[in-house]
Amino acid sequence: MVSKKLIAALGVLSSLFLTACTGGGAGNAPASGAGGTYNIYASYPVTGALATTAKTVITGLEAAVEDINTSGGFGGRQAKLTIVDDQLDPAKAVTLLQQQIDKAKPDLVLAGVTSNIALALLPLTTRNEILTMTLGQSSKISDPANFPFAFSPTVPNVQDAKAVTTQLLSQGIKKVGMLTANDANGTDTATAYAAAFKAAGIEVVADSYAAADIDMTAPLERLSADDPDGLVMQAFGPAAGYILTGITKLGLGIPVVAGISLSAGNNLGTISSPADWKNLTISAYPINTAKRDESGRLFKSLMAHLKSSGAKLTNGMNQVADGFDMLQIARRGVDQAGAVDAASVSKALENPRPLDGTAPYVRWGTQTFSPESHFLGVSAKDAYVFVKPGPYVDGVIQSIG
Amino acid sequence: MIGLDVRDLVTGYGEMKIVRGVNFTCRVGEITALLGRNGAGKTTTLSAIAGLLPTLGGSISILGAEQTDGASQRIHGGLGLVQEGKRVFRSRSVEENLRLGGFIHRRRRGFISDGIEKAYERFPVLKTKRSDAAGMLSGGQQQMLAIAQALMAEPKVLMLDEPSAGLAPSVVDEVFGEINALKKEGLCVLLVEQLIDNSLAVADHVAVLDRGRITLDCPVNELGDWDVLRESYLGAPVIVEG
Amino acid sequence: MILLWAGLAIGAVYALVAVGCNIVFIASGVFNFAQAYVLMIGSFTALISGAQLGLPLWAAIIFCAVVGALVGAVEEVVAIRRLSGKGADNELVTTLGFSVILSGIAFVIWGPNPLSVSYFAGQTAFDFLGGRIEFSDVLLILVSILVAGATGLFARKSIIGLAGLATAEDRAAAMLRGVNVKALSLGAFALGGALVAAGAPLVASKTLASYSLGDSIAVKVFVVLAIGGIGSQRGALVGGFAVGLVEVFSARYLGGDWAGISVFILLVIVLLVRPSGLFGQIKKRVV
Repeated sequence: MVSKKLIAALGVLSSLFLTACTGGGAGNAPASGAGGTYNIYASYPVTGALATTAKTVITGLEAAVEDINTSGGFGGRQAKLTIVDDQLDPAKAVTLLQQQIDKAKPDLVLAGVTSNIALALLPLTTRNEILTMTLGQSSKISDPANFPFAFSPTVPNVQDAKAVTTQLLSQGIKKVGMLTANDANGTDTATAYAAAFKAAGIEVVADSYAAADIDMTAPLERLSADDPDGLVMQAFGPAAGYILTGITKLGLGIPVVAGISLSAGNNLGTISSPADWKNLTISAYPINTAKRDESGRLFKSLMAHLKSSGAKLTNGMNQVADGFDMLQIARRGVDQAGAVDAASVSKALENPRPLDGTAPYVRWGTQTFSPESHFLGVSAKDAYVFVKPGPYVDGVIQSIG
Repeated sequence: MIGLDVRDLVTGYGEMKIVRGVNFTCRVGEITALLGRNGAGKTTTLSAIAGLLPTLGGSISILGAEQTDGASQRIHGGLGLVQEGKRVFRSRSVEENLRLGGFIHRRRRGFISDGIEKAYERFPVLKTKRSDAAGMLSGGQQQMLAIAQALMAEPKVLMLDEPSAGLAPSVVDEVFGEINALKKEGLCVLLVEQLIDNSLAVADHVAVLDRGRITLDCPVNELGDWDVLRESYLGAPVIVEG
Repeated sequence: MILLWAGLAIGAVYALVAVGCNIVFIASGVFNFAQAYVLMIGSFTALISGAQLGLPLWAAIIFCAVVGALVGAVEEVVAIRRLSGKGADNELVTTLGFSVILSGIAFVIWGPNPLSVSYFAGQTAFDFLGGRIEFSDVLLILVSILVAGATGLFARKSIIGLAGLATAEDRAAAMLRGVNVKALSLGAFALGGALVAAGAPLVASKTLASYSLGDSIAVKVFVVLAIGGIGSQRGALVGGFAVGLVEVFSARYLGGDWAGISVFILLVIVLLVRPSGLFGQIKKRVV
């Protein structure tokens, strides 16, 4: 499916290029103006370890392109999506994008789902003044002084810590045991969590596990020896399953709160069984829960596309929605700027006018940037909801208990 | 009856052909001594006969059957080889080595235990060391174990590669005595040696291998002066150890 | 006590894979890095047995064993056969390559998400000799002891086992005793694969079916064999339990960061005192 689209897109691009030449242009950026094409270049790891994630996001992009093109396009231009497989290799991503820029400069570059690809491409897109959006969440990406045209329409990790803290307080937990992975991501999370908990007056006992551990009895025993009245876990994949089984086996019987990484990356129903969820509350994106707003036009458009394309969701709906909203946000910037050049659109994105209320995005009603931050300005309170755990069915958590 | 027939044998390691067109035969009930100096290709020839090295040209027949398969099938076909260097399974016990010797008869009930008893009768010293690791035995005991192990399979054709190497003279005599006894038991024995005098004393037939070719092949009793053999075919006089 | 049981249960997983490695090593002298990845494939086979085929546990064990034997046999043909008897330790590279292929296949078929296996699902832990333990973990510990004991006995007492030991020690000499070393090597890879995969329904109820399962276990198994002495089934069992216990107790009393470090400290100590491992035999090359 993807390759067909790719070939089609390449065909369109090359014909465009030929037209530009015969038109006597110097081979630079195609002339702008209503009725042209809005070229979106997406560098994604279509093969490799993150292939599933990439393809899910791309489903959302395709849904957005369809929706936007039937409702006026990007300021009157029809969007053309070109997907390039960077294989999660930053050097390859840079080479491929450079080749594309040499042929024809895209209007929008989508720089992968990880920070390493984004950070590799940003110097290139900044130099060539191309609007860039990524799902990478490194704090280095949101750097308006150095990368004025780069945006990450995601909620930054610090909000996760804030939201978990609020949840702990609401459950009356005064001393918490914290179990995180000992890799880079886990260590960052542990630091952010510990700081937020302490600031809120919650006492913290911490321990970590290795990704290769196949049993979590020991760290859980260690934490429970300090007699906490609640537990916070940062885990996904097999480790999350081991922690939940361990909690049941030890009969800890204290409330457990899972940060956003658990529901963002897994279908809890496939890695664990309800017997192990007794005292568990999980952080989730609202789009992945029954509490989502299903009334908006965009939501209906996305669901219609998912239905017609036959795309099957094994995890939450958040990744599809990420792709979908990303293009809707870019489109809004173009509409508000009345132009497609990176500088104008970036300025519009940093200073959004209030929405007219007719077209909220699918993930959150308001998704805006500011001149200071190129992450979404969604508050911790709105960014996540805490729900009872359950398996994902059609992208929505079916809470049990 | 011909026990072993080697015709125009060519063999070696990959591109390097060590043996180039060797012919000789060994009769059942006889000892054939294959002599030659170091590097003449004796061990290479034995390895090819046993199937450890490929036959690149010519043919090998054991008891009239031409051999084309690997080593395991040749052992099943009645061939035995006692490799040079007292090659036993050093980390296994004496008795385990003997059991392994009878591997091809493992499905015959009682065969292996009977064979082990026979081996202990032949070499009583092995019985006293039955549970010891083979690597702990003396050189002579290891050589006896190596021979006993090969005999466990009840071969019809037995090849011995320098059984005397590194042994004390008294032990050498014992080993040659055993070899002579095997001939009397009706085996076809191919003996590769550097000790010319001892070998010719027991051998019925002699073949000399030099630089990958047979340069002499005749019954021992047709040989005139052994010293002539030594000088003309084996080069420098061999100093007998001890 | 609960830590003791947890450590033994983890150790049992390592021991089971180490036992499979030893079977291959005994018969062919090859250190099979991919052994843990056969367990990983087995975990998915257990998943299919339960979720799609609805097999009872005993049938799932047999099905997993058959699949494991096939994977082992394919590995022998693809990664070992052409190299065997050629001397250099190229097999370490080719078995490593085979393990990457197995991970890749699992990833393509089953994707990145771990999946829980239905056998023993929803079981409750019970108190046993002063510590809480799950039934599947009790079984796992027993099975690993049984398998290590039985295969160790088989290797030393049966003539086929002896032939394996002999082949590992001196391949040419074993061939001269009539041992069909090719068939033996193929059989050992198949048996090693079958035994390890047969344990998968038990292991996967603890670890989930995940394409990364092999990565989690392979390095630990390497350490287990170095500690216990490669080729010794007793060593695999003792080494497995030792590593599991050290991991758990150091994680409990020193902290999660110490689990891995403590295991390697144990390894260094054992290798300093006994370079060939606790039950290993120092091999001297015959000139």
